[in-house]
Amino acid sequence: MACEIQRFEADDRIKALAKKYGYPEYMVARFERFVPELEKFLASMEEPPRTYVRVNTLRINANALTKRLTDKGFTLRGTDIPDCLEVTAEPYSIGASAEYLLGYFYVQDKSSVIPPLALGPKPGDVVIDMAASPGGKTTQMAQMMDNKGLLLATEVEVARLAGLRANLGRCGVMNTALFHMDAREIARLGVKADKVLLDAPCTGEGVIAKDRTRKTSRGTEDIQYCSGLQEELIDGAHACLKPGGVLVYSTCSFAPEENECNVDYAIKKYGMKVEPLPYGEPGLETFGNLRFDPQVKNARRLYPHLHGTTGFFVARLKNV
Amino acid sequence: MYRGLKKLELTAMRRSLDYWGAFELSKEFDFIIRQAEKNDLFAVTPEVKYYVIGREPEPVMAGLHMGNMGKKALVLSMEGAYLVAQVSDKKKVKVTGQAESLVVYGRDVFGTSITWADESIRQNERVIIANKYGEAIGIGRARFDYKGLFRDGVTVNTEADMGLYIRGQEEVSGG
Repeated sequence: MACEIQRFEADDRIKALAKKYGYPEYMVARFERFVPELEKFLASMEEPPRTYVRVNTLRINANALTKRLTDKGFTLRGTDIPDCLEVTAEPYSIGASAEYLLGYFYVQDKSSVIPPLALGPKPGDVVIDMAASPGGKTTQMAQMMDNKGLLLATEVEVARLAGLRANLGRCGVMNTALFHMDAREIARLGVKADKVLLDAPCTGEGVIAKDRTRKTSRGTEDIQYCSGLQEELIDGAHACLKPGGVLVYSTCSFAPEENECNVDYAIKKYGMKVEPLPYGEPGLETFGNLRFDPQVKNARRLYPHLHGTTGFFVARLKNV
Repeated sequence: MYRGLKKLELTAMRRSLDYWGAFELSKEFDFIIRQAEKNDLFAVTPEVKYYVIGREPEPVMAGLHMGNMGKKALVLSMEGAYLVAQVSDKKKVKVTGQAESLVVYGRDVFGTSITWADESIRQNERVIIANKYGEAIGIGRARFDYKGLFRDGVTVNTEADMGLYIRGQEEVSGG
């Protein structure tokens, strides 16, 4: 049963901020309960998001790629994440460069690089990516597996398959089998995986800086719907995880009902353990009337004004 | 349905890779066929091969698409051409940086843009169009023998290019 959506009264300050930045009042009232430095956060969502690329080390190393792109007038700098570069100047869209078409990098937000790093797939592992499109994390995991072993990727939306296939091909991925299926039925694949990535479908509050319509295009009923779907996906993930296996759960939403609630669900229903991660801010321990298991704080939240990324949530859960 | 290669297909694949000077790729990877109206050839890991052959539900894709496997020859995809161009310069032309940015959007190749070409190229043969690093950015057909490739005007017709990816995405998204 998905968490009950938490609602809060908006005082005059919240109403003024909601008006100033163009949000529904309920949303800002919710943010106010857990986001540090609320107005800086809202202001940061108005700025264009930074552009990051992940180097595809199956095809090129970071130094060689930087040299080639620099020769074409792009400016890049390293980040605290290995093989993740920030693009600070581009004479034209970096996604139109020959290096992009050759699969030498993937345009991928820094926050989005973290879930595969948290999962840590190795060449000998059997790995499942439950909601794979457009393929940034899938191709990153193939890269971390050195293009060896078995990576099973699923995508439910037929319209998103073409882009995913193209990205897998562009990046030279050989170790992946792609299935058009609802990830809730993933047990049909008939495998027990060492590692599962569930980058769950969500309301996308964290990508408002990229898509301003999300301020108003999603409501509490969407949070409720996504939260329920995410729970079912966690059930599916657990069903195909080996004992001792690892599930990384992530979303690009700020809503605790889509994040901490679901991690709490996995702990209480399946006895999974939340392992610490060296990124971002701790997960919430409470939200409104909701009280989470103390382990939930081992999950991590990323905020645009604190981490220079889109909004993100990630948790590493061990199946003990 | 995915299956292993039949003996005749294996021979045809090896012959085709040999045309491109890349016979050794046939020994480097495992291969499977997706049997359909057109048979697609994929390069895969041993684990993927073991997992997908005869599998239900069937994956929509498994491994790297090398091209279409005909009765007599393999017609390379761009992904296949990339692998081939990494190990061989046979049947390859290299173009300038300026021409690279045109080829990846489907434009034909002018002789004045070609900086190097394999001397074995004959008129009407398929060639890999490569950038200055030798990386495949397109597949084309030579209008002339080697000696005629550097003359004024279009000398290689581009039949496939890396930019198909982006143009395909625009079609999908309606852009």
